[in-house]
Amino acid sequence: MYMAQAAAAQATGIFAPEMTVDFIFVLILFATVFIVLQRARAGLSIPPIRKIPGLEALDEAVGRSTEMGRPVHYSPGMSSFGPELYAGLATLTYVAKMAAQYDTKLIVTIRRPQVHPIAAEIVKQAYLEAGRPDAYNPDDIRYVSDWQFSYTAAVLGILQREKPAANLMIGYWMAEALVLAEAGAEAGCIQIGANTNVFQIHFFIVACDYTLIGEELFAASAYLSKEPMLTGTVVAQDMMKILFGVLIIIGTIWATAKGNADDLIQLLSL
Amino acid sequence: MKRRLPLLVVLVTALVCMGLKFLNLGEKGATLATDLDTIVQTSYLFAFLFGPIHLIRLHYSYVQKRRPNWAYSAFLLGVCAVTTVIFFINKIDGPVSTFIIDSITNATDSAIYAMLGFYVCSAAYRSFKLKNVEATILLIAAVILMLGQAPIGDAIIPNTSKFAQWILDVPNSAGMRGIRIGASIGAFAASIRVILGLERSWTGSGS
Repeated sequence: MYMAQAAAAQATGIFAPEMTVDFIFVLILFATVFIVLQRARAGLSIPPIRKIPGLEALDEAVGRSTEMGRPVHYSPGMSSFGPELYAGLATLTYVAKMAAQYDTKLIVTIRRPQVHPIAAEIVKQAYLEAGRPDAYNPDDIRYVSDWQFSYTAAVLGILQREKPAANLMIGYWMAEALVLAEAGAEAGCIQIGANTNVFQIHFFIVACDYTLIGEELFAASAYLSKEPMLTGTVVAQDMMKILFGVLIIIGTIWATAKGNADDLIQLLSL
Repeated sequence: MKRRLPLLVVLVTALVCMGLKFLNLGEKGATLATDLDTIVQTSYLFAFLFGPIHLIRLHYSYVQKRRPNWAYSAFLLGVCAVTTVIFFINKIDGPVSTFIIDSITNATDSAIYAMLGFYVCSAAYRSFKLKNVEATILLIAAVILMLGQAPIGDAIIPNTSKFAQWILDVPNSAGMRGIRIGASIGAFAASIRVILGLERSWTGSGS
């Protein structure tokens, strides 16, 4: 609907209203990604990604489950198709491969029905690659409910009844974040949470053993696969962050010198 | 081809969507955007069928095999069947359907949400222990904020509410904005990975 409204807005000129600056930034990011990818393709060095403890701990979480003979619970979050879900599925790929390799039961709970076949295919593929197609149990990839708190209630039940040794919540979370994290802590799980919702991250920080904060979630696929092409996009992302940091400093100086930031806001609203 | 077709569809759709978002395409653009919305919503409805079919199949097998706690699965199947029949007969806005949604579904939803209150207490108890520097800062900030929100805070220490508000407005906002900026750029970079076909986990094929 948002797209339709934006396109329907009456305006003159090439760009939609208030979209010129956005378009320029998109072009800059695309160009940065392109340049870094070219360097990666040419085999030139690109800066490494710093160590992310939450992602390093995935091995520990699955290993602990294997040693204890208890399952791993994984959820790719509450969102439908979007960047957070893609990051959650990329991490699921890694976790499923490890679970298949160590023959550890992996329970995946899904909120969005359209995500279920994709998650099932990812886990099935992981078991195939590990050479254990017979160990794959489709009943462990569970669509639960599309309703937020019905999903929460069902996962609470799974955490209490099936007692997983690891609870991995990698995606976008809302009000259920603390309920699930505390239930996981009560069940004695090692917990890794990831969220981009600034109103819920602190709940994961206090209740989980490891937390991926904001952008760390999006670096997961590059970090875990260690592919230079994927790492390149994370490097481009950091370069954009530096650019935004410089713009914020310029804006602060401008606003301080002039007493207000009206001109700057007007410029960025083109 | 089986692997490349979805990637191609994503690339073309993303370029069209970006064109609609950034460029002024007038009435034609608006019509195309509306059509795209309709296609997305229709495909979502078809995809929605996957969930209930899987749910019923899974719980039916639990009941059939008499797995542990199979009674819950039987109850779920019974509720699904009864609710579906009632909604067909009574329609979505009929009095019985409205009663089910308002007085059962929403009430149980609220009950689960209300559990958050208890979990906040248990999480606070665990995290507010003076384990390290970070936990100590968290504890001090939390005490100031709690005192600042209650009238007794200013009575005990003057200007506590003003200091609490400053914590919310300055350090808290700065941290939140930093995370938001990072997450937004990260989401954008992740989207580019999907558009360019570098990130393929969503195809179900792994990396």
